[in-house]
Amino acid sequence: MAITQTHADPDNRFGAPTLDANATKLLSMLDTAFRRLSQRQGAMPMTMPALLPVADMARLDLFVNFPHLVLLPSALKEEETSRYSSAAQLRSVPGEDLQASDLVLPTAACFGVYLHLQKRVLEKAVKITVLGRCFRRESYYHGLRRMMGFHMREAVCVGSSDQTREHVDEMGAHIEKFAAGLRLPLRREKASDPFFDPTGSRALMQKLAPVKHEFLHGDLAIASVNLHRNFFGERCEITIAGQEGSAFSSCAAFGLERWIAVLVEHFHGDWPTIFAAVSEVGGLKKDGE
Amino acid sequence: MAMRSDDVRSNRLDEVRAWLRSKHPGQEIGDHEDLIESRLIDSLQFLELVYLLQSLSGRTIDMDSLTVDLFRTLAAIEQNFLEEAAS
Repeated sequence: MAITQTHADPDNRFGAPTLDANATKLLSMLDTAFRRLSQRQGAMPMTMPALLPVADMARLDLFVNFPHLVLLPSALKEEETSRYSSAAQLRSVPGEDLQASDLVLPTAACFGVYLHLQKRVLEKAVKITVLGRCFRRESYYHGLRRMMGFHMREAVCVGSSDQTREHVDEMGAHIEKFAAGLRLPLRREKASDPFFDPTGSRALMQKLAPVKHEFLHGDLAIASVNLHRNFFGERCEITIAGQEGSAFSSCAAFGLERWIAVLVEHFHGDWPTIFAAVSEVGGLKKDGE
Repeated sequence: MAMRSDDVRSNRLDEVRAWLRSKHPGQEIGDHEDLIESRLIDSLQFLELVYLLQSLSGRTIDMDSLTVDLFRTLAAIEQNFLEEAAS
């Protein structure tokens, strides 16, 4: 029984499978559960822009750290449009027919939050939760476990060093509690970001001063908690009234399609049981809301 | 005239202070300030600092034995990397 069928990408070349009705319902339920969890921690739901400026993302070191992952939208050059309007059997569009791109598809949901808060003096710490559609050009794709475009629910905290640590501690505990409620085996491990240069200074420092922890089922990380210290606060010039220096930030992230993949595997494709379990543990009403 | 080991150590620490100050002009950095948490040593500069300490102390630093607490403050850096080796 395939939970994803797609005619748009039958060989899964693009990592863009289709989710059927059951998987779609589960996606929505999981997002509601994680959003509610974030809201109980004081996070305010917001919606960030679908595309972010190259200049802003470069300032956040996206290209320094993850140039291999970035996907960028573009548009046809004006002088090419009439040729394309009558093109037969178009398969791909070469770079020379495209305008220079000044936008990126976000690789994670929280970047938009820091950019939204840029140059602000916040009265006090803020917590924001977002559902982002994230995009990564990976070297290979695999079902719902590794996709080009996927959904990420995040809970972001911008505040003091202590507050951002407390945020990841609390969210981490809730993630473990959620999995325990589902009787889904989950283990927490130190991890590192998929840097372009895994032997470089950044990767070494991250190894020594762990700022990222992942929650794994088997070998698949389905959630993570991340401390950024004052990196985003500094790059985005965010300060907190009464707090010296730049704001600190941290985030908790959920890869929704990965949760679907592991739940289907763990419950052997028994959808009614999956829905009942997520509904109960997530505190959802009967219709999944 | 031979230098006292205290003088040698404090000259070496001055070099580390100067390096840090060059990365953060105009900023006062106390000997017990948390350099990691505040990102006064940020991840891009980390290896550069390791090389500086190696060259100041004349000793190779074993990367596998590193923990971030060794670099936590200027005082810790002095104690962990710039002390004269016992002869």
